[in-house]
Amino acid sequence: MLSPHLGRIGRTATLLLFAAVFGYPLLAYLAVAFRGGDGADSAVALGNAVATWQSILAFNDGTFLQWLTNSIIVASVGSVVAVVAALPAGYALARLRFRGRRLLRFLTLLTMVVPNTVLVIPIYLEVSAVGAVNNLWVVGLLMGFFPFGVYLAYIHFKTTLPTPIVESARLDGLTDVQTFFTIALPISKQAVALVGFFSFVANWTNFFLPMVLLPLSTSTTVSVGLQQLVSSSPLFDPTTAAGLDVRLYAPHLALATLVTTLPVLVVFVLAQRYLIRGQTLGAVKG
Amino acid sequence: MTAREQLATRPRIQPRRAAAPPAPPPRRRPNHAAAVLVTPYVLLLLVGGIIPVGYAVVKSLQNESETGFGGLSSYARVTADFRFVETFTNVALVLCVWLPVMLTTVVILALLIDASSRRFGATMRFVYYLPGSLAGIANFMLWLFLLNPGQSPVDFLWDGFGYTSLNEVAQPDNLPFILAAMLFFQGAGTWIIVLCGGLNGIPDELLEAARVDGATARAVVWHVKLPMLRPWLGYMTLLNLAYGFQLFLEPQVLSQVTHGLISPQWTPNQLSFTYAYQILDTPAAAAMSVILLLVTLSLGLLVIHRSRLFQDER
Amino acid sequence: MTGVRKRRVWAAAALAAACLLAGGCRAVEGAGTAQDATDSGGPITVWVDPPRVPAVNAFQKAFPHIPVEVNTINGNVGSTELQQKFVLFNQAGKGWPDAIFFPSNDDIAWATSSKINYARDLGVDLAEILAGYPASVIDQCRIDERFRCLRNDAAPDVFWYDQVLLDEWGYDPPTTWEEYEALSLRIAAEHPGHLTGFLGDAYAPDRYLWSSGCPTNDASSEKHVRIALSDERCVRVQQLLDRLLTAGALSPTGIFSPDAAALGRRLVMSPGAVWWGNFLFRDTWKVPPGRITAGKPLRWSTDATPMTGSEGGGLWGFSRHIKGTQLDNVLTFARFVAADPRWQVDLSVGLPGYKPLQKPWLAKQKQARYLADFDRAAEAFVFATTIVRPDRDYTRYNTGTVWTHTITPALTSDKPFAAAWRQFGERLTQEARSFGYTVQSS
Repeated sequence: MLSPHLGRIGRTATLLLFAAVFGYPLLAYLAVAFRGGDGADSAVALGNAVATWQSILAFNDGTFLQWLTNSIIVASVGSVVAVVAALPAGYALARLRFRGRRLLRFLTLLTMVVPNTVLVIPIYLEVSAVGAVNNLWVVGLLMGFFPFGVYLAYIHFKTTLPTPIVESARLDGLTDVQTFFTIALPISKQAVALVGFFSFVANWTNFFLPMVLLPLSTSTTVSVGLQQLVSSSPLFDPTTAAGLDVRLYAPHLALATLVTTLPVLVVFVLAQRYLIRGQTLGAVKG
Repeated sequence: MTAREQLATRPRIQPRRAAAPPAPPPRRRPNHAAAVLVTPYVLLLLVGGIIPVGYAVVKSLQNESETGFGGLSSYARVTADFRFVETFTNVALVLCVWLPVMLTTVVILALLIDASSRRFGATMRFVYYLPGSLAGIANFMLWLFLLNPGQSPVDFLWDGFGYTSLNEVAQPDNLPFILAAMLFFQGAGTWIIVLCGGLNGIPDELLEAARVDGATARAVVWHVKLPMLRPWLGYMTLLNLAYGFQLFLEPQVLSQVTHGLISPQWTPNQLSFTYAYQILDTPAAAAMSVILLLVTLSLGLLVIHRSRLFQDER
Repeated sequence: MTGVRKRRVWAAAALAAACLLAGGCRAVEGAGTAQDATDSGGPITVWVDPPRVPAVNAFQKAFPHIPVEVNTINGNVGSTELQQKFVLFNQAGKGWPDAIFFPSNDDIAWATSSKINYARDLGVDLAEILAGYPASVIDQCRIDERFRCLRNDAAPDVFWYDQVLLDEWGYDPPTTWEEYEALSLRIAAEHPGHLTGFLGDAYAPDRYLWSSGCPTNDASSEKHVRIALSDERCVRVQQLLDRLLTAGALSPTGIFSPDAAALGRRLVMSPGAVWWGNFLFRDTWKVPPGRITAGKPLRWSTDATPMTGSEGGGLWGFSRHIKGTQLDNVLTFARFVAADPRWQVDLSVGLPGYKPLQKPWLAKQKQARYLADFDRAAEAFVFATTIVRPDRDYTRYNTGTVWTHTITPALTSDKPFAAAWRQFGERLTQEARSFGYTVQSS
């Protein structure tokens, strides 16, 4: 048996090694964003990023900002809808008995486990059958379907809402709906944060749904937009940029990518304390 | 006790097996309240899940010209496609590389973090999570930069293989490894957080009891912590397995930046996409989606069955 | 109780449908037949790839009273996004661009297919323009006896070489494929590190297979194609490439690849399209002026007449879904991009497909003093536009894409060419079948 001291050094070393594995590429990528020109042999400087950012804005008349706006609309609508739908549903599933409860719970689990990309072509067929393609709100609404959120809320109400409280509310003559709004909801900040966080991240990074449902380059989201930046960059096809006044090289791509991850990081920092305390998540177990 | 305190303490003081509070008393009355509460979600479930699946099933049973019933002919067309088996083989290869690496690394790192001081552990966990914020296309953009010799910060790696251009790195034989690395990089951190949450949830009394019994640190890991993680690991395996079948973005864009070095129909989802938008055979595209759905659904059923996710009064 | 629940389920379903229909969405407007043609009253929408943006700018300058909305599209060969959009437009019954520069020539196959049927017949409206094209330049636009596109630039293959190097080494430029092979082998042996061709891009099959007459895309209708890689005209080019690859004369890289820039400067000679001169040698590979020139296309010594292939040479398509002033403006745009010197001569990097503009374009190029023996090159260009093999059609399947994911990876990882070639043939046939073609293989 290793001495505890040696064990601790080994443990710390391993953790630091993996921190390097995960952190080094990110740092290197971050550095590229602060290089100038085509990024080949230029020093890292803050001023470079400003110039680079201006070129990104100039690309196709500022379409990048349009993409960001679209992403924010779609992801926010999606997560608000997800929270609004998931909390009452999770509460009902956890605390109330009603016909179809088992079926609903089962379908939730099933759709939660099936990757949503598999559903994208069927969803496209559905949406185009009613002529709703190229509509940001429809995409937001569809993103609001977030069974994992319902599951989180279910676990939350199951594990953190003491039965006596619910029972006494009933004795006080509150209806179940009233109980949900006056008793359950006010102590569910954590569940709101979790559902909101997970759905926002899922929506923000969703690629397939906007690609299929928002086919125009002006109406799409930034995840699809990044791909358009790649295909307009002379980095991978030197001939592409021949007719473009804005040439996007590695620093531009890196900066654009990093900017698109900022919202996710912000949301993560906001939600972090709920994420790692490990109650709801920790309770999700068999 | 305030609500917040309840939130913060309740799961910790309860032994795991009893974590679920007693079931609500069975009451049989028409429950309008439940109907009100679940309606928004049920609507979304219909629009985002059930209707599209139903529509896909109906579409897949049409004939090629979409004029009438075609039986299983569209299924016959896609399964006979020369790329059908190939796409599933490709996904299987990725999963073979990705899953074992992912599982072992995530478990080890979660255990190490759990054993570390709170501050250091939290920092590490945050660093591991960082790539997760680059999910999807952003992660791919980072990887484009890593994969491109000459500008890559891991150029020493490509030098070692003797690769000097993106096309040499991203050749089809390497693709399973590249995709596995990408998925690991973006996914590991989130799962580490989840597992740490699980480890946090182990009641202190249990660990204390083990220590009093004279169990070594290794024995605690082996006999207390790992068994606690096991359901999570099953869940994670199957979820990631299902995830593997929906691969689309990475091979698609990689094919684009390598000027077609990778087949545009490398994964089942891409094949489905090709049927929908290139071949313009909607029934076949729907059939391919239904097949993928069945594969992932059966994996999903397995998850639900094995890990008893919604542990219930049953 | 059951009744209540059931009603609720139905109410939910109905609401879901209502949401979808009402939530700011439009109802389906029909499949978009030419009868539904609309008129914007003037403004036109134009989709171009990045290199064609200057064409639109020049048009706006020349016709300031016509409002133009420009959308830049992804220029990658074999990209599926464009077609996806057209599928959506057909379903929505609107959204089509009024004019489009197809990023890939094969796009004209789906744009004229019975399912998408976007490109209008230009035979009557633009008859005078069509008459200005050499037959072999416009042949691929004649689909079922109707002219459904216009060539932007003629892109026949000629034979490019570095005159300075060949002179220095004391070689004569080859004129036949047999001489090309012999000289390539000598260069590979005597001057290692130098190249005589690129094989890894989607245009490689056009460069080598089309010019040999190898039937890869010989379509007789929307549903019938001849793919016969066992044909002698395929075998001869396959064997030639095999020998050159073995000798290390060819690079498995593609001409558009970023690493081709360094290699391009070591390219001694190669068959290549007319646009290689400005687009690749000058602008992308930055080969100094006065070195490169072009000779007539290589010919097979066994063939009775010289024939060549064609790489790209973009196509313009125009919408069937418009009428009135909008249509008039689009036709004005069509005449401009195809036959107006302000674009074709002043700005376009490629040789105009429209014959009357070829001379002025060449005169302008001569002043640029980039090519070494300009008159020889100019003569080769014009001659080449008249001898492009006609029996090669643009099809729903993309031969170049099949090439890049079968041949290119095999060569990149040093696998034998013969096996890769077999795989290319098999996949090409299978791919054609998956698009619903009946394949004749002999």
